[in-house]
Amino acid sequence: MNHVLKHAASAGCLVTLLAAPAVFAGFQTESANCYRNADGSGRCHGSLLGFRNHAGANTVASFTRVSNGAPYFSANLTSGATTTYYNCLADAATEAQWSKAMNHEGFFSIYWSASGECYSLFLINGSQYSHF
Amino acid sequence: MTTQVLRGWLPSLTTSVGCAVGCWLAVSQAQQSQTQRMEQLTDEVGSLRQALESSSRATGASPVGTATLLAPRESRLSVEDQEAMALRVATLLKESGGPVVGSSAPEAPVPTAPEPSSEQREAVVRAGTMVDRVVSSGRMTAEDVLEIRRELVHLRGRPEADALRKQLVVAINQDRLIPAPGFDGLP
Repeated sequence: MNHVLKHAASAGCLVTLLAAPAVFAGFQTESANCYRNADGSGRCHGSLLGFRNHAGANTVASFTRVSNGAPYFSANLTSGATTTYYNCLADAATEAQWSKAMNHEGFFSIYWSASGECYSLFLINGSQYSHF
Repeated sequence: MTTQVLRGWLPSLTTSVGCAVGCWLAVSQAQQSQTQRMEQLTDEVGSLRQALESSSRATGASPVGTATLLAPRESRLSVEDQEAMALRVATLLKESGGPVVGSSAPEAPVPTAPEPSSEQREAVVRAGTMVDRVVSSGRMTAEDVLEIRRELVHLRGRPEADALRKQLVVAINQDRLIPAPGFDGLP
């Protein structure tokens, strides 16, 4: 009887361990922010994971490369019932960094001018931004 | 006894004193030569600096890197530093064919696209008409994007394509154009 109880207890412990949710240690952060000035210039910053997990149902951000012209950044940010749209076409200097942005899983910050040109792209890869 | 000791030590003593004097003379000669060389290099750097300053005054530009390349005479720089500076300034002068100034730096030629073909010109007109229509309507559907994209295929790599796409980008950023649901990126 004792033998059976010991086996049952071991099996119970094993099931409990397997059922326990994974706990990730270490600092984590994610964010999704954009703003625009009156002339249309602006900035988006955060991480793609932050945009994905944003509370807004239509929030999304992407870096896109196309064959017929300059690559571009686009984002929608939904706050309440309002979705705001942000876009820019990469200038030559920013375009040179685009392949890195396409594979980036960390923090990014991108600025654009009133003429719709992305003129600054800032990338940080860090353990806090993604599960990798 | 004393005489014997003196006789034994005298040659060694004389040799030692002679060596010491010889070393002192050699060292002071080297120091003097080094000082002269430093003075000479300092004068050369000073004259180059004057040339740069007078040139920059004439052109109204500031000399490139003078703050880091050239130091005041009273600063304590080693001979190696002075030689490196003189060599650097001389190289810059030689490369530029004269005193180095910011405004005289040659500008990279801006690459220009070749003239568009007649087919491309027609595509620009068609795509431009579509972009104008979309912007004036204030909404851009996925079908609009595909339609414009089909025309932009003919303008691959041409500045006209990016100019048209930029019209859409600016309109979106200024809230004059709202992408419809299902919007899947720019043309």
